Amino acid sequence: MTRSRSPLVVVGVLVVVAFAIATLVSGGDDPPSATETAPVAIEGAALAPFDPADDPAIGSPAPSVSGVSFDDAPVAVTEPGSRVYGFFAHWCPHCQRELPIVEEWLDEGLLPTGVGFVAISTAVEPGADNHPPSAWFEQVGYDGTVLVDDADSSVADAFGLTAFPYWVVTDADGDVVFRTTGGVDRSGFIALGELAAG
Amino acid sequence: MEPDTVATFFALLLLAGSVGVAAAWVAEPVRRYLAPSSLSLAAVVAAGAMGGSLWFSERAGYVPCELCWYQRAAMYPLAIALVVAAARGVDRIRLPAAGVAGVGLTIALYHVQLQWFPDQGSFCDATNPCTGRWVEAFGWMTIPQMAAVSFALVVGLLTLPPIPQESS
Repeated sequence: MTRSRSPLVVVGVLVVVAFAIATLVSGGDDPPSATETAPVAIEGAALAPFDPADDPAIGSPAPSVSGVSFDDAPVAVTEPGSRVYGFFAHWCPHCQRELPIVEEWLDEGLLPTGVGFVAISTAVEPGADNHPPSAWFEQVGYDGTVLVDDADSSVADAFGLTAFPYWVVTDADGDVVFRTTGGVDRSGFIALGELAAG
Repeated sequence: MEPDTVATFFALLLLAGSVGVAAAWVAEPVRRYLAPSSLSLAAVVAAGAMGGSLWFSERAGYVPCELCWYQRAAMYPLAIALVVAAARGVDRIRLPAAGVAGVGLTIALYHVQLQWFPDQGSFCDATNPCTGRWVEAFGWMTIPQMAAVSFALVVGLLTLPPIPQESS
C-alpha cells in the first residue's frame, strides 16, 4: 500500500492552526474580585479522617477555625457551640445540587433555635467546573456564614473530610456528634440540626 | 500555558479529526486520500491523546481518577504500539489495536455518562472524583469526552473500509 505523506502534512498544519486559535480564544480569566481562597487559623487537634463504618471522631472537640469570607469579612468559628458545618466544593455535582436547597432549608428555618450553620468553601480548583465559588454562592443566593478555606484545604483536612459534600455536627460543648458525606435530603438536614441541638 | 488553552487546542484537533474520519467513512474520495496514511494517523491520534493526558496530570496537576487510569491502560500501550507499527509498516496490527481502542472507548463512554448523570453516586471523592469536570473546552467538552473521541478516531481510522480495486 502506497503511503501518502500529504495527510500527515495536513495534520501538521491543523496542529499549528489549532494552537493559534486556542491561544487566541483562551485568553485567561479576569482577575477574581472576590477572595476564593485565603489563609485560615486552626486551633485544636485535627479530627481523624471520616470513616462511615466506625467514626473515630465522635466525642472529639471540633477544631476552632477562623478566616475570612468571600468579601474578606472576618469569620471566626472559635467558640464551642451547636453547629452544622457544611463543606462544599464548587466542582462537585453533588454540592452543586445541594447548596441551593440548603439555602432554602435555612430560609425556612429548619435548624432548631440556637443551632448555627457554617458553610465552608474548600478544594478550590481554578480550572474546574463552576469556578469561582464566590459567584456560585452568590448565584444561589446564599447569605449565611461562609468560611473560605485556604489553597491547601486545611480546614477540610482538619475536620477529616474524605468526600463532598461533607457534614460535621457539633453539640453545645463543641464536640463532634455526627459526621457524614454525600447529599442529604430534607429529613436528613432536619436530623443534623436535631443532633446539634442535643 | 493554561489548562483551558490546552483543552481548546486538543478539542479543536479532535473535532477536525472527527470531521475528517467521518468524511472518510462516507465519501470514497476522502477515504482514498486518508486510507494510505490511516495507520500513521491513528498513531498520531493515540500519541496525541497520551501526551495530552500526561500534560493534564503532570503539568496541570489534575489527578487521574480510577476510570482515567483504566483508559490510560488502553491508550498508552496503544500509542506506543501504533507508532512503532506505523514506522515499520506493520499493517496486521489494525484489528487487535482497534479492539484495544474499542475497550478504551467503552470505558470512556461510561465515564462520560457518569459525568452527565452524577446521581449514580451520592458524593464526590475528595481526592480525584470521576464526576469532576476539570476542563470544559467550548463550555462542554471534558477530558473523558476527548478521550472517547480519541478512541473513536483510532477505531475509525484502523477499520476504514478497503478502497475498491480498480479493474485494469
